[in-house]
Amino acid sequence: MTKAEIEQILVKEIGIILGGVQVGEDKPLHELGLDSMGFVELLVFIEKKFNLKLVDSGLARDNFKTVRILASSIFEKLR
Amino acid sequence: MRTKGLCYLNGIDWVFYTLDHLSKKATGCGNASQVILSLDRPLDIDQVGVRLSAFVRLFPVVHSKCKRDWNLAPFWSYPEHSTSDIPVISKIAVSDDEALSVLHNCVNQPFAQECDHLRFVQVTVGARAFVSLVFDHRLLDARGAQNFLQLFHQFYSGKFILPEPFRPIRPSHLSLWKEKFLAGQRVNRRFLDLSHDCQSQHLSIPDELKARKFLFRTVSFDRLQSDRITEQAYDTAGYLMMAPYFLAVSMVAFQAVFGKSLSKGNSFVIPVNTDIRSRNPGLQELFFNHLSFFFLRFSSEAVQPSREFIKQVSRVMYEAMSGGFAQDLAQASLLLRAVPKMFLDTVQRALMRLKGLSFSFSYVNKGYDALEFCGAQVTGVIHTPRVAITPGVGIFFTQFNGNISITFAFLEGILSEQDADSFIGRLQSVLSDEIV
Repeated sequence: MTKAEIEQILVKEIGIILGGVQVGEDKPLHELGLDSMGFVELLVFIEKKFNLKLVDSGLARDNFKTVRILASSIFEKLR
Repeated sequence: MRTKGLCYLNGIDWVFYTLDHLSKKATGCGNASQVILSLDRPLDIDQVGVRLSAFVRLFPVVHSKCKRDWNLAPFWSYPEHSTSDIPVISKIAVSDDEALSVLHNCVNQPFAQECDHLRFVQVTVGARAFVSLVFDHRLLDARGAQNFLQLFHQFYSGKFILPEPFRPIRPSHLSLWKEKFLAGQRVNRRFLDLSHDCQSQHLSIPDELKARKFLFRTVSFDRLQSDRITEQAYDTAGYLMMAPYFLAVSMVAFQAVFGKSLSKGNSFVIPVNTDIRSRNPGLQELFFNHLSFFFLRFSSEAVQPSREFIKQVSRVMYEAMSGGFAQDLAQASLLLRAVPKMFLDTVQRALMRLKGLSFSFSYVNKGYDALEFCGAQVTGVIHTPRVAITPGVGIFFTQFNGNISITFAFLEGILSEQDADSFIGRLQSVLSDEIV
């Protein structure tokens, strides 16, 4: 799976979690309106879709800040 | 078949119906709550009253009464057209403390009739004011109440128009029994797992509860302080993990202040509210309860103001949410609706076997988000809910326009006023201290 494909999957899922909001790849997730419950929903989705349990990673902001950064982080872990 | 077009209670509605019944039986007042908006100026209360009256007529459901259908499922019965208003109360106070005290009393006043569920209050303090919607938790949940106020604000501003009164309908959910039983089985297993070797630490409920009120302490942080708290939460609990961070610091402060008064035990057991609305909630999800709960347990020894503990809370909350307990509870509780309300308390206790809960907890950050209310600027949003008699104490966080507020609610007599002040002071200090 390419980084761009991961980005598209995340954009789609975050849009669903936020109720149809347009999701920009470079906008911080908290500015998109994602809260802790929505974020946990996203983490659960990532665990199911990519088999990655990111909650154990410490959830540092630098790895999650935007869709693009998150997609890169997932891409690196999947390699 | 007559059941079509009725608005049935879901399982969590029935739980709240039962809690309301138990609260009324014990204290004389039901399971009410209140959302308070602080405003930069008072509203013309006569004009607001007239508009509110017109608004409420669009929602005859605000005069609902619970009845049982022939199939035993409870449903909300409401008039074809709403003909009565909701009470609008206006008071004057000389200070914010006095205003909040007036509002705190308002949530402890029972509604006049079984079909009354709302009350609108304004307390003017000089050039500013607080307005509140006191609501019966059977009719609205916290987010629903905030959405109700927001919709009224839009109606007042001419931006919300309904051609005819809105009549919510909800199915009876009297099918897919196997799924509900399986959900019930998973809930029961989870409760057994939680209760294994568990002696929860909690405050003692006073023996005599008649006419006891709920008292509140509230604290609001300005934008700078809120941003600092948010940074600390991201740094310790993880990015966007506000709810686990707030829960962790609440436990730390709770143990620090009430440690000696708590029952002997080895665990904190905390029910956490979670919103289960659809992603685009419309008017059908404005009224009644669209939330569920999950229960978290932490070893008392682990409760420390440390990064390790905060991370643990994040992980435990993640596991609880990803395990789908809240959804299972919502499904399984549909089965409880057949039980008469007087027996539900026994059923709930049997289900829980947890020997008490430590405190209730919630974090609401999606609700009222307009910066104005009926022409006045909104400077803050606070919740003051009456908590279920067990545990009798609750810690509730809200966020409005980036500003964080906390409410500590407690049953009169469960702790002293000084202890309440100490707790809120301690919580503020834990939130401000750097966690190492």
